[in-house]
Amino acid sequence: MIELVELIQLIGCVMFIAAMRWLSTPQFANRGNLCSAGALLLIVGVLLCSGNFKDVTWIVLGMLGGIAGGFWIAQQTQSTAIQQHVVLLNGFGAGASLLVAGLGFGSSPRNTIEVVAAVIAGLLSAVGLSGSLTAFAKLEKMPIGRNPKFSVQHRITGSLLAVCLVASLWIILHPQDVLLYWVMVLVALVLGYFQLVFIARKDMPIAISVLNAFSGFAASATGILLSNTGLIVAGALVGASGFVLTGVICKALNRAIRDVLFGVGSDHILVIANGEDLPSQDLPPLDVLPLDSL
Amino acid sequence: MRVFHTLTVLANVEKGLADTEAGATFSAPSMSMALLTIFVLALYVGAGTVAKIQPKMFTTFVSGSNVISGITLLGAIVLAGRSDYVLVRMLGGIAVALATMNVVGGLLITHQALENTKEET
Repeated sequence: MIELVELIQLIGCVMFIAAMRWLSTPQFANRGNLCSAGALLLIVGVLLCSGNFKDVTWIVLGMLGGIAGGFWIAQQTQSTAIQQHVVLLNGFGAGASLLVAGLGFGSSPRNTIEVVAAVIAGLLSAVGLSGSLTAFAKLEKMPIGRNPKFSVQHRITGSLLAVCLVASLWIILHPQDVLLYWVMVLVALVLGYFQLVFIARKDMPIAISVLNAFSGFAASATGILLSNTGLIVAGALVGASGFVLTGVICKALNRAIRDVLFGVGSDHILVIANGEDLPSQDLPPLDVLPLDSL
Repeated sequence: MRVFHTLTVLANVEKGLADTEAGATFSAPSMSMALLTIFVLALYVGAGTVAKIQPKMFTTFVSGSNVISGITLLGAIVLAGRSDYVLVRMLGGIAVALATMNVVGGLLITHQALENTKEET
């Protein structure tokens, strides 16, 4: 029975590859969507049927709640507001990944590769979770925080990232330190918020693609932690395609990814001083310029 | 002499075959290395799926690949169903709910997005 589950995951992954190819074309996109739906149904169905589960109540409750919630959110989505709901759902997926990776990490002794994978999964899904929720809030024009100056941004996100990296090195060397893992996750959540809050609303499509890639890689790292090939492959597919697509979108919108991440905006007024543009560090802070055209 | 020579050759061939049977092979890859190999190859496949994407399909594709990242549902189900601790199973149930919302909502929204692209033409 175990082998059937894994065989179905392989078939499902092949279906995912076909689905993603189709989703990139206008005429077969519908087929692609149905194909990924079928693949997920197949994989999850076989897992549910095969499983030696201690207790299915939480699975059932979770699925019912999730189906209801999914329908409700899709109902709320207007055609003009698709991308913020996409990123909201991405955040939910990242949250799920965070729980799975974090609780999976704490449960049993792991070898070094698995610990590294758990740390990567934790960081990426935490940043993905808070980043996605922040992006959703920004696109929905919720008042979640004004954009401070660039120099402050570098310091905040830089120091948070440094803390995360130091903590992750410590965890890799001392895998029993589960508490530190969750502290690192907390720091990464804060990092996600601060990173996204600086990104201009006009650049959100790029940020959304990055967040999508993050949650894909987080799923993949969770798969390496739990030794599940379906997670690894599907996560790698989503992560790699998201990564490449981010570059494609940047080129299409004529923005450099570095500028996007650090909030250097084309929605700044071009400041002409003595006939030259000022270098980006000298541009006035974003909150002076109420240009949000989305 | 000829017979003796032929017999020697045959004996050597037999010995050679026996050597191959007796383990002149690679040792099996460790699980982690096999998984990493799969991961790397899947990266290349994933990168290739967006090779010919047009700008009007960006939103649809992002939404569609978001659905596929709901594969995390697998891990959530295992967490919710197989863990020994009730608290972990409850948290797993929350993870199942989140991942299912990701999938179900994502499928519907992807459909909406691709309907949009048709209206534009």
